[in-house]
Amino acid sequence: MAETPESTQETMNPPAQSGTPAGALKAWFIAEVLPLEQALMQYLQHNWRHTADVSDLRQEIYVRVYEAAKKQIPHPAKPFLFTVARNLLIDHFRRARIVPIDGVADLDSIDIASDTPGPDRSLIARDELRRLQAALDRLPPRCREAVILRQVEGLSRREIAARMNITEKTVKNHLNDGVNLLIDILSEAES
Amino acid sequence: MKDQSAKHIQARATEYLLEQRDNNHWGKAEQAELAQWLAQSPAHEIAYWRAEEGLRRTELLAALRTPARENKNAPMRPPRASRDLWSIFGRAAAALLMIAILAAGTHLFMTPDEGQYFATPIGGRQTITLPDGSRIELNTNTALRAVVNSGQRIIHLEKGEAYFKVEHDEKRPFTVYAAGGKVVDLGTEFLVRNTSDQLEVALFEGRAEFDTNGRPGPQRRAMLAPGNVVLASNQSVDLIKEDSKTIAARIGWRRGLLIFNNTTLAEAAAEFNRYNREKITIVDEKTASREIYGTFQADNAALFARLARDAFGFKIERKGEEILIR
Repeated sequence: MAETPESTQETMNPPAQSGTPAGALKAWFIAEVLPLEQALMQYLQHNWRHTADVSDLRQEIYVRVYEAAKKQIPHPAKPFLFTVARNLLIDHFRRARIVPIDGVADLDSIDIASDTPGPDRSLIARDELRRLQAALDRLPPRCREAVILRQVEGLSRREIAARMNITEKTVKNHLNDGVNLLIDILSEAES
Repeated sequence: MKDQSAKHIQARATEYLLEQRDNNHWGKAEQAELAQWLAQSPAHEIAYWRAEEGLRRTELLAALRTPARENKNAPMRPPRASRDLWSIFGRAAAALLMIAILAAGTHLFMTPDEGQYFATPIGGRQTITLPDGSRIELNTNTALRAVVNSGQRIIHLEKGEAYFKVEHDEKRPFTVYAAGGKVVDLGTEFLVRNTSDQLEVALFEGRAEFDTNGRPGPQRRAMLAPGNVVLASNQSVDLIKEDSKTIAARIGWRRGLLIFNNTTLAEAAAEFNRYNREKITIVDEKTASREIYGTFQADNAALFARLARDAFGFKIERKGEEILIR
């Protein structure tokens, strides 16, 4: 199985300055914020039809949420995240002096106040599996092969290189590209 | 000028993460460099978390090895040395059994033919080759008696599940008795499963005749074609047709796999429990009725439980030999 070592991760969190301990911040961010990424991307894509890459907007939102959570972790996460997103969009609209007629109306249409649990967890899980498979199928063939050999078969770089008859450096590049693409595809809004 | 676009930062973070995990020469200096990069900006740190989380999510891919994917001619599944080894072991085992059967045959003339007894323990799997060349694969916790001589070929499936690949012989019909029912082959591959409350027969190739043969419940005789499945209980006898994917899932165990398609968690747990001493218990009814899908290693109940936790959001708890899912 593609077990990954967990031991090295804990040592690299910068020490907490004040408020939320770094470990708790990270745990919260991964458990509460990242799972909302797909919904967030959908919201951003729907409301921001500007040229800038929405991934830059997402980064900005995440940093704002991070800074706030460093002082105190907001509960629940969802309304907070979407309020930050909404405020950021409004800032950008002002700065860009554009008034997206349908956009502004929509900013409030998302039900950010409620923290309903959303769809059935098992549906999410099924979705997750389908999405993973679909995401994998969208990778370039060599990239996909390398990712599968690493994640499914648990092979090392050297073994993958031997199996695919390419250099370790190429394996490394395939894996970098593959994992990056996977992360992006997984966070894409469903069309 | 440094590129601070999200895409660039993400690529960098992913590269660091993979380098840290994959590069054998990763040491203190590299770790310090990463720590410094992470400390430069929350954006760096968040991107690194995204990479970690993305990589963790793809661990689920192990559960996605569906038969459809394996059948694709794409180079999805490289050949595995271990499989080849198994088939060598399998052949050796079959040869030994042949010798055992031949040895047993010498005194068969003296006594009424009770046949050979074969059994597998929980989690076991065994392939036997009969003197006529027919092969039987026994699944977990299965017992059968094979009476094969110059005049007849009769199998009594006493419990469990077995896959039959029969060499056709006009003079000696191949008959399987299970739970009171009877299957007579006409040159086929078929599966017989004897559960506590029903008899299941699935036909994969060729033709065979199914006969309830006086077993408890409604009576029925039917000629089976590929894709046909008979489900006989004390209350009913159903003859259904399954598509190739559904019927193939029934014999995932021949490769050590459990294949679930819209299977309830309760059914999935019951399947795992057939193969493992460690038993999975679903605590409440609502969880038990949740449907899941995926392909799993039959002998790895712990991995299944972990996936149930990580992907499906259930809680798991260990109690000795028991894994509770709620």
